[in-house]
Amino acid sequence: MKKNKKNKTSYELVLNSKIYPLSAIFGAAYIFINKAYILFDGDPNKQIKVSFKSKPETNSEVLENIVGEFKNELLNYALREQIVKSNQKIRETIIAQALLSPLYDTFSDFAEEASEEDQIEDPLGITETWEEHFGKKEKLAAKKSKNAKT
Amino acid sequence: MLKLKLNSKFYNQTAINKAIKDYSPLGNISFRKQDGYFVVYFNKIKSDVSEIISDEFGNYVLAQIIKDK
Repeated sequence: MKKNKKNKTSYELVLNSKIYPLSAIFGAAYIFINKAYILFDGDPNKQIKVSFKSKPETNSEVLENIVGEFKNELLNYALREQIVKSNQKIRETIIAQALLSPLYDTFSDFAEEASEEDQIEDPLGITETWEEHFGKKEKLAAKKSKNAKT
Repeated sequence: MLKLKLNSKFYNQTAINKAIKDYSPLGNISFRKQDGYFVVYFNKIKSDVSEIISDEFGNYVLAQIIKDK
């Protein structure tokens, strides 16, 4: 970061776009747009020139402070962007889980209800297997024969 | 005549057009693209704002661009 002091009412910062992304510079500039006149020049892929010019109501000291605060804010924005980038996957996973969990609950409730509805009464024993069906008959016949003997 | 040069790599036509529309009560403002810059011309500007209009205009365009991002 180079600072070229032109005169008392204007400053120019030359920023390396590989260190400070344009979005971070824009974000920091927006904060100070009501305190100074800010102008961009240069190449967004190489060197970005940010000019600060004092407003009629501000003096040179105030402008110098504004430029200093801008640099701090720029670091803040650049760091924030770096954190956002590095946490992107974790953030996406958390959001996906948060969005899908209510859907999962709804589907599991629906599945439970559906399984309860599926339990139909079967008085004729149609759903029984052959062994189950005839096994019962044989047991009944055996019981009947026992009763008859007694 | 006042002039303001805005680098087309940072500033866009949509934001400049909006600023021209919003600043039109203050005077005649026009622009043309020249060598990678939007050159904004200020004519017949009201005397009470003539000293600050180009700088204020630049800030206004910048604000529009940042807001849209």
